[in-house]
Amino acid sequence: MASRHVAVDILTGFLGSGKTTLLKHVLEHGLKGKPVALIVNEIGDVGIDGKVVTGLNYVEKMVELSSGCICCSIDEYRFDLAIQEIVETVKPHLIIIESTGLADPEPLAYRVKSAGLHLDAIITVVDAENVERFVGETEVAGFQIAAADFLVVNKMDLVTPADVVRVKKKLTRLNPRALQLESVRGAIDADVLFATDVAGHRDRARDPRASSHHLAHDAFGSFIYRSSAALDQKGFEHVIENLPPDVIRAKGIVRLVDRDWHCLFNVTCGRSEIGWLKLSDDHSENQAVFIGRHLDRHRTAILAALAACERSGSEAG
Amino acid sequence: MDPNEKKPVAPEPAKPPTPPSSTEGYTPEEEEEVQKRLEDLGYI
Repeated sequence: MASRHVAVDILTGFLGSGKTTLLKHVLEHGLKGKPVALIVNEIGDVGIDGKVVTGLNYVEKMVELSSGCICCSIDEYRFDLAIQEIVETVKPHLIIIESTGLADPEPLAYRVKSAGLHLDAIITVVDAENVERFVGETEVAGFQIAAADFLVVNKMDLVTPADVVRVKKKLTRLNPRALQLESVRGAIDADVLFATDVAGHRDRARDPRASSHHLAHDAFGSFIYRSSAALDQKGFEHVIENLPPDVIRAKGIVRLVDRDWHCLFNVTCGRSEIGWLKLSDDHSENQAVFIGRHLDRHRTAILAALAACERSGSEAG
Repeated sequence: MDPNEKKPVAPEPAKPPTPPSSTEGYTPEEEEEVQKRLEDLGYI
């Protein structure tokens, strides 16, 4: 079913960290024109967080799950029903799930994958002023940090530069893989958090003349890989599972040797996923975009590693 | 939920090593929709 190809971003963070503020900012300043659905999980009868974002008219559908924590008390059946309803009625390209402040994102990520959806990223918002105390007092705050692909360090205006250094060191100890981004009142410049952000980088990589201003803005670069030969699966998996940490995101669709189905891959901060698509033979070209920092140091090696996976027609046959 | 409760343990999801065995693809209409999705999400 075509509409099952939906990307899911999980937005998490401890109580009061600023998840909804970040979500509101991102929805107001990005993602426009893309079919986005929200699942907002608030414990209790009244979904306060849900009310804050309801007025955004470019959000196609919002579902509130307000009778329990999405990670531990909402059963799989009910979760799947909510997902199914959204997918069938809205046909979103992206679903954003905002969890409660007390949810562990790992079981939720598992449910997303079990529902046949594609997990794009786990985004954890951190309260710079209070994160050390929360991590000391509750296990779940640490779980949220450890599970993240992106750590948004929010409330930067409330801490001193020395606090920032200390907090970031602690976050790195808890999760060395995640990309840390700074934020004040949910405002964040970098457009790498959500699945739909990749398209902008892809477009700029295709037209470098349009990219100079943007690169100065967020210091992220991007490049494109294209080829027509089928790739050796083992070699390709090795390449995407061993990308340098400077590569924040990589996405693409490739043909693999001896496979009728196209391979859809996604790498977010070192976590790689592969999916499969049965498309017509018109889609014979491999296409991928790589986004990150200092890519001039890595571009040649990554492209060479991918080229080494290419097999000619006789080799592939 | 008590924040001090033990972490719920999720089973490790199986990694799909091979594509599905079905040979059925999309209808032209579905393929058009998939194409738009892949473009929106930056795959192609």
